[in-house]
Amino acid sequence: MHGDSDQLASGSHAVFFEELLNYGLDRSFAQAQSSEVAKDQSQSITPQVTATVYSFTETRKAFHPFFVDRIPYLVVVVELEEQPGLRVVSNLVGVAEPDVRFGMPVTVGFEQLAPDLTIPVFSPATGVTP
Amino acid sequence: MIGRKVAIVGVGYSSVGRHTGRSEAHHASQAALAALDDAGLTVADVDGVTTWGGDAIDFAHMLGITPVRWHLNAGTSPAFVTPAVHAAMAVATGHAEVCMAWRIMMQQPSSAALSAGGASLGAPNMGDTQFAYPFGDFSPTQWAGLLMNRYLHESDATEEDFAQFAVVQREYAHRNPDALQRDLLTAEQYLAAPYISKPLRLLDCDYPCDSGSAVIFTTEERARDLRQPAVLVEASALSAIHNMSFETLPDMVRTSPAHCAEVLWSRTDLRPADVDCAQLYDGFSVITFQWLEGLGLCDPGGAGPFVRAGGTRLTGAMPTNTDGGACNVGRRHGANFCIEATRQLRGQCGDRQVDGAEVAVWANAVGPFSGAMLLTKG
Repeated sequence: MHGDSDQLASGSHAVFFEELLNYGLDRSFAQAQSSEVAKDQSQSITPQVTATVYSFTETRKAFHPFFVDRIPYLVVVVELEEQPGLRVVSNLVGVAEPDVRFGMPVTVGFEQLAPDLTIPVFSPATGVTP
Repeated sequence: MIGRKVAIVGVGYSSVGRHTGRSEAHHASQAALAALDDAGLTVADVDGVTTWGGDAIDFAHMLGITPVRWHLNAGTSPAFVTPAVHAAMAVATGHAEVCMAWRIMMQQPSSAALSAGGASLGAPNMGDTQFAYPFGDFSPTQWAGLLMNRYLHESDATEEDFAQFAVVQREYAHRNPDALQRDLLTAEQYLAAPYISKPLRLLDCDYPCDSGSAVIFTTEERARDLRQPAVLVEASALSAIHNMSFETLPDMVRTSPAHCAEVLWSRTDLRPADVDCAQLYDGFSVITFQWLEGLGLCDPGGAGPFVRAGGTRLTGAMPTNTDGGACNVGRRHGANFCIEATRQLRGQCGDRQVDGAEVAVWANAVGPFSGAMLLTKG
């Protein structure tokens, strides 16, 4: 489900990711009234987003029926390379919890949770030295 | 503090317990009557009411507190400290003579109930939560896991220090008849308890229950004629540094408590070295660690080694959470820390009493928002 190029090109992914990014930008720059900045930034984003791990936690209990079969899973806060201090919540996939490192470079992929919902998730960047 | 000098004159709890089957109003009534009895006051003396949980005006009407000259229903806020500070401010400014502050908190649904789909954590109106829920980020235990992991990364603390913290808290609870969990705990038992959101373990979490807590504030002058030794409000502070997204805090280690402590100390001539005991929110144990450091009660980044060295014990440098904390007395959402600080300054804590306690600090919450109050023996 991750990294399929056709999925990356579809509109819904872009919409969600733009919202996600605007969310982070709005929160980071609310006082600077940066809606224009946010728009410019989101348009410049490509699916090859890279980021670093700020913090992570492995959820062992389900708090919603949808996630019962998914535990344990990693909730992560990543800082996007595009803008220092811009953080978003996501999932970390393709790595076991003991192997996750603070500051670890990660890249975005996409996972379709439902026909109308695709989310950006992150996995360790390959070929990048932490 | 600006205005009239304010005192805490009465404290009380409801019949706190797991799934009590009693309503918020029932807990509010029990706690209020206990606090009034503690103070030697009647409902006729009260003219101000504040609460988080339930409705202060309904509670007042139910109890016969009428007419009311000051009232507040606090929404999501840093636990009990918000209704407490607003009650104290009402007295300080003369908007009320005797103001009762409540925290009524009903037991929240378990992970089992949530995962079965029979309950949810609040109404999903999909504001900012739309950027967290799709990633399975629902529960405060998860932001606490994020904060604790980052704290372990940046500080000198280890998971064993958190085990030691839990052990010491339980030692206090063992000496507190009000505590719901009183059996002594070992570090091994802490470490064997399941992770909820790694590195956060079950015993890092406060203990879910139904609770009602009430504290009565009035003037120092009025307090002199009442039943208990007066406990005075030396200073208080509220803080907010971010929106309510804990996950996007710019710094997960130095959060609102660091700012709140600065504000608190700016409002008093007392210094951290003057504090005899600290009652610091432990909704998740990493919160207490942040407060110990934020308030200057130990070195920055040094709460782990401080706990390891016995610093939070009754015989330590800073007896901390001497009622056993919410991990053991149950989720009374910070009100227990106000009440324990008050009882310590009155000298009513039996074999967990801090000898000669004259200054106590109690503090609530973490992350985006927090609050604290410094109390002195009258």
